[in-house]
Amino acid sequence: MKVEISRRRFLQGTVALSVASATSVGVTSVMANDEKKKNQKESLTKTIPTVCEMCVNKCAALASVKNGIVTKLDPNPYFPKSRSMLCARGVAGIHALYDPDRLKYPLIRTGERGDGKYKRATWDEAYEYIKDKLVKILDEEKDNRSCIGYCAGEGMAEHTFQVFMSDKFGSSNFVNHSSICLQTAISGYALTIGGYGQADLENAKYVIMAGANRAEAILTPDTMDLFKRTRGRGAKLVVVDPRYTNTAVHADTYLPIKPGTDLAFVLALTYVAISEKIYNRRYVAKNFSDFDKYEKHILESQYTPQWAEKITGIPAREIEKIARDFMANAPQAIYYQGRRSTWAKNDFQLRRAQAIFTALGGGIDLKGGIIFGKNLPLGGHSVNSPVYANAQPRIEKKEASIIGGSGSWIAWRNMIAEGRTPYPMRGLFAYKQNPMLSVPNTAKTKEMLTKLDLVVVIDTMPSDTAMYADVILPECTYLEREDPVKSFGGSEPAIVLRQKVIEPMYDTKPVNEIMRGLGQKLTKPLFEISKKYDEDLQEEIEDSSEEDIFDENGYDLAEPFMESQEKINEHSVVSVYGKDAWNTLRAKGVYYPHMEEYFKKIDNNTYECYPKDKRFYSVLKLEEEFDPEKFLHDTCVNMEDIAELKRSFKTPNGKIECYLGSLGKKGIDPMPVWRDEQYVNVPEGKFKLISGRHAQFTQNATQNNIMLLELMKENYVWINDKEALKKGINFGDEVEITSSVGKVRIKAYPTSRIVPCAVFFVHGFGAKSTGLTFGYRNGASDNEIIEDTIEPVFGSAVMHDTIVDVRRV
Amino acid sequence: MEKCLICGLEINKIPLFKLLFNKTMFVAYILILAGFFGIYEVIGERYFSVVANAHASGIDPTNPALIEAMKNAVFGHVGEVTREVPWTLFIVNYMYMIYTGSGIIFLVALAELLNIKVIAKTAAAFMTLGLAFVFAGLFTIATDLNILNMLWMFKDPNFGAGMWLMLPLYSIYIPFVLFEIYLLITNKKELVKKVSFAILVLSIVVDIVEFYIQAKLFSMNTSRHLWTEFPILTLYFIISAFVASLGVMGIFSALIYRNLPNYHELIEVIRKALLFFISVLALYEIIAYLYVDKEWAFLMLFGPFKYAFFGGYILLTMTIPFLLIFKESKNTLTIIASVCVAIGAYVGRYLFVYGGNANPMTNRFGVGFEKYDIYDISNSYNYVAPHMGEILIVIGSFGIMIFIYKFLDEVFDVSKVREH
Amino acid sequence: MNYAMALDYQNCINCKACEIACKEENGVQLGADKQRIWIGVVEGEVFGKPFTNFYPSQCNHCLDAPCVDVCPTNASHFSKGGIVKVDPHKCILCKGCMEACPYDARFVDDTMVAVDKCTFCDHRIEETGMTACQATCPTKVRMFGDLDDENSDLVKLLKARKFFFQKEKEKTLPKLFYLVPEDEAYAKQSISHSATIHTWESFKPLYDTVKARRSKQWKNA
Repeated sequence: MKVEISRRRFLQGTVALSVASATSVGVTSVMANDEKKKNQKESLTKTIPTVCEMCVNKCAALASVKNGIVTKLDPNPYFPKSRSMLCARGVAGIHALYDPDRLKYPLIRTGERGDGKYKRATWDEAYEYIKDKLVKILDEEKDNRSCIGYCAGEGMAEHTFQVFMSDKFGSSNFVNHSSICLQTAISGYALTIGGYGQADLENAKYVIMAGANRAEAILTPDTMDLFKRTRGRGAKLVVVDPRYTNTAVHADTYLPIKPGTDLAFVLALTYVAISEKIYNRRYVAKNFSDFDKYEKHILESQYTPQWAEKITGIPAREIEKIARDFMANAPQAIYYQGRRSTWAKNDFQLRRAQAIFTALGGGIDLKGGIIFGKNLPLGGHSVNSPVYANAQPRIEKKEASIIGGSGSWIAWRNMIAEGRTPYPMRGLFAYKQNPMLSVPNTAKTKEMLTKLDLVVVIDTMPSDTAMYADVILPECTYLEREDPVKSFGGSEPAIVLRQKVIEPMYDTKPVNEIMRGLGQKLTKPLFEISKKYDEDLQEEIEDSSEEDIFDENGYDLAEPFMESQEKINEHSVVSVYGKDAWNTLRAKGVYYPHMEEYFKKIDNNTYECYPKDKRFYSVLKLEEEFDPEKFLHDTCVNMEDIAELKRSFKTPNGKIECYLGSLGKKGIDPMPVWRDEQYVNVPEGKFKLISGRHAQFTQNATQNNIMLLELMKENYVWINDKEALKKGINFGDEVEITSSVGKVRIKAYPTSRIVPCAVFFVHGFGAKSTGLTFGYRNGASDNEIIEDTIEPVFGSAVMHDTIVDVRRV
Repeated sequence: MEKCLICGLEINKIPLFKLLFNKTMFVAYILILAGFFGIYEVIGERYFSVVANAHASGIDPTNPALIEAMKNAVFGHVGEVTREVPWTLFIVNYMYMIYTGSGIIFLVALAELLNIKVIAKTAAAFMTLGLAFVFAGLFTIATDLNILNMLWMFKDPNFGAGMWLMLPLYSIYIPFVLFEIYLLITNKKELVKKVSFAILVLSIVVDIVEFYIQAKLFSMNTSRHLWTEFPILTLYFIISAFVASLGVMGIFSALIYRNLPNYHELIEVIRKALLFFISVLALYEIIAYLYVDKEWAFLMLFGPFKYAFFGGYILLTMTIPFLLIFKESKNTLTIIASVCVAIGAYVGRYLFVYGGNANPMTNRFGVGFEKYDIYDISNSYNYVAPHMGEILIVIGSFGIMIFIYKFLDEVFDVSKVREH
Repeated sequence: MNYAMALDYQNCINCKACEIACKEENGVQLGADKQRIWIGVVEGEVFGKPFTNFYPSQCNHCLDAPCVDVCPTNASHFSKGGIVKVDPHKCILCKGCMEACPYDARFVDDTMVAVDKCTFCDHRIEETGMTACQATCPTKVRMFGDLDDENSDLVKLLKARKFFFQKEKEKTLPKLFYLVPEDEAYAKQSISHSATIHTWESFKPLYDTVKARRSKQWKNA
């Protein structure tokens, strides 16, 4: 996939000039500075509202299209959540569309797995290939649909893929980003205060951000709200982080902390609040259950600031001061929930402790605290899914206490790689996810992928994972497709629509159409397999006719995908809000009730989507009945998962849960406890590897984006300058970082802005796919050296407990 | 040799082959050849290297040349100059060549005015040499500019800009010098006698104007304090040019006039003048660095440029020559001093141009130098090493200088000693 | 009309959205050195505690612009509203303007073989009222507007806040107005002792005088 061109010089003049001319076309067509061009501009320019997909935030964007070319992406001010902004990645979305390395047509593997040799195929050939393999596999596995696993990255079309794989195809083996992302945080909050909620940073007076880095890991509207109010402008910000991040730059107080000790910090804060009785006693009396148990536990365990100082490295007096300031500002005080990954084994308990601490101040479900807001429901459609008698439950059910519907990536993968599965796992369908780079311990992911008989990857880019696929199906990018309409809850709820900006380039398709094609190809042959092995089905057919059962029980795999996405969306919106709402949504990209009346431009930088008194801050009081599913909202949350979790653990709603007895039965601490044995100590001369984000990249999805690479061309490892001096490491030196599972080479960035016991490098670099011209072997991938440890509750990947050695090479 | 006479000008009827193919010319050609390689390199970089803008990939995303260009832009290097150091070796060489050349012309005029016989006799050769240097300087700068748009110098002139003033300046200066040479080598003795004094005065005025415009060119760059705060930049340019010119004249004399009966007399004149002007220059430098912005002064005197400044400039231009020539001695010592000065003066020009850009403009808020990149260290000084193309063009400019001088000498016998 | 920009630089989080928006909007050449706009980062430490300042910046479109004075062919010129622009077709690449600029705001655009710089997005300001960098900014650092329009958002902001300039001593009368942070500690760490703090009243007369002198050179194209 590599095109060799020797470096310029005269002989390449002709080639070079063709670029220059292409370039100048680009310039003139856009500059449009004379009359003639102006006329042209009017006739050929279109502005189409759409929704960004460069990260999970889903900001509303306006795409300018000239002569069928997307020339610019601008923010769409109508969407309250994105606060009329588009970040670096959002603006660089054009280069996701025009990335030279995009997957352009279906590919079928011709070489060995991982060597990148593929041949171009038609869609039908690709479907045919998949069908042949699936028929063979399912025949051998006697119609156990779960022998084909599937994984997906977060995205608006993730659900479409899931409908196919789970509801239609019938596999139970689904893994997604949750367990390598914010599973513990979401669940910790859901089980403690009822929901993850949203921190109202527009009105909070005191915010503790521990580990969260909102300046660099941009989250809407938190980032936009917070940094207009820091340092003397309304919100006191305390940043607790092993690194002096760009968020810390804006903090009133920055406290460097040893990685993995946040729980001790929160428990000490709680100790101060409880022992000094400075918490919001009225709120606690009214809304807490089992507070007495918690109070007793905290006090008896002696979680004093002095105790925490030894563990965290944060001075005891700072902890006392923060606890007092926090409670003085409560209830407009938030211990920020945080997102990102699981850091240490105690992560679930950490999130619980955070939630309880915030609740001690009373900052739940009110302006300036953690709010739940309101959701705007969308019309649904049902899927008729067949039941396969031979489909087995997911393989890694017993690897952790609670394995939900989105699984545990590491546990799941390790079982396959190590050959410990209860039944053979034969295949994997991966949509928009790249486990080769995103799941800790790359070597094992590779082992897993090599063991499978069928790997199908649906993506826009030839990722490292795609290089292990038998069949690659090219999805079109977000600017070339309409995706399922999405509703965002919050204090200012709104519905947004991702519309197609231009027709799909090359031979690419949206997921809806891919599922349709695949479904049509697979329906008949797979039904034959079921008929052969599924005794229930055989009985049903005996009782009735084959055609009837086929129709009634939904064996037609393509059926939910037959309608165009536009039609499906229209139905979802019109059925609830009427035709006008749908027209507004299409024209403006955003819809919410009373939009025309509420929406106001205040100045060039400020738009008001909802008047202050119409926003939904305190919903629990407003609503007669509390229905958590109506309020929980987060892009990354699988609501069904959370609902299921809460059903299984029978947490009463509307109360702050200090003591989770039902979890105790599963061997999980019912209250947050600091356990020394869970803490990984850093030996002398070694470091703990921590990972994180910069504002210019979204995990590994943007590693080949030339515009973003221009801002930061590779990742560097942060190492404390004094430690670097000891090891003779200077800026830009290549160093080797070794852990128990692998080693990487990366350039060094010695800085005083990281604690001595840790090293950091940003996630998302170091791809080994030869298909990526710019990303290939650029920098280092953290997951090559992060150990595959899971935390005991959800089986989430522990990302910050790997001990590494650093040496200059 | 057979001659023909046009307007009192004796022209050698030298065969073309002999004119173009001789030892000196071969040296010139080799140097010019290096220069052409440099031009090839520079033009390749400027007009034919693959470059891309942000819109290019929307038009033809998979164009291999575009991909290469994008890769170069991000992971490699793109462009001839950086924003921090826009003026480079081209300007150094331009300054050296033009100032030294016009310094020679200026000095010869002064010598004639002071009635220094030995210079008067060799004036034509020195003036031609000076002119050859000026052409070499113009050659250098021509390769630095985008010649394709030069028409705009006529179509939309900005009369106040130092850069534009170069155009009328050299349009007048070069014919004027040619006329001076013409007067020197022509046989029309009567005419020469009549106009010589007026021409001399005029020529000195033109020389001063020239240096004034050169100084304006630099001192308009208000933010580069090394240039704007150098006291009386015009004077500095004249004095430093005289030093370089005398060095070049010394070397030239040794090459051309070593068999002349009054060779020693010639060298003596040069020695005395050199001694005088390096003393003035030394004094000037001391005073100047008391005035110049301390940030620049620090970089030059104690910072990264200190070795070039003291070891290159001060030692070669002032200390060594001074020790060699402060009293009358063998001609050889003066010649060695001349070589030192000629090299040292080049280092001086280099320091002046690169030094002007050395203090980064990125201390925009007065709280420290800024960096742009997340992974970078902020620069406390700017320096970009000259690239190969530039160096080759500089070498070529010496070839141009030799070629022009030799050509004129072969045709007009400018080096012939003339009695007035 | 006299276009200018105020920057509430305390908001900046160095996300670099503005840098990319500028490149995409204007089709600027690719390359880290080829920036019309940038975020300068100054890192320091006080008593062992680190601090970092982010300075989003671009061409100051100085009223008394030295880059216009030094240009031999008038390629570098004042356009409508006092926007300093370069006409690439007239540029002879003498790079004198790059030397004259106190802010390093200019670079050589190798696609045009000419000097390039910020244009205040003059092709879109009439339509949208703001530059691409302002529109896209997550924390809304910038406010573009007309200094002559007393009712513009810009003038309202400048009347309400104190401000300072970069390198005011160079006497180029820059038009990027940096708003003094409301937090004293932040102001102390990010503003030089030698910077003059202005109010709208204190600075307006000076600008009017110089505008009267220089605006004769402004082209209305």
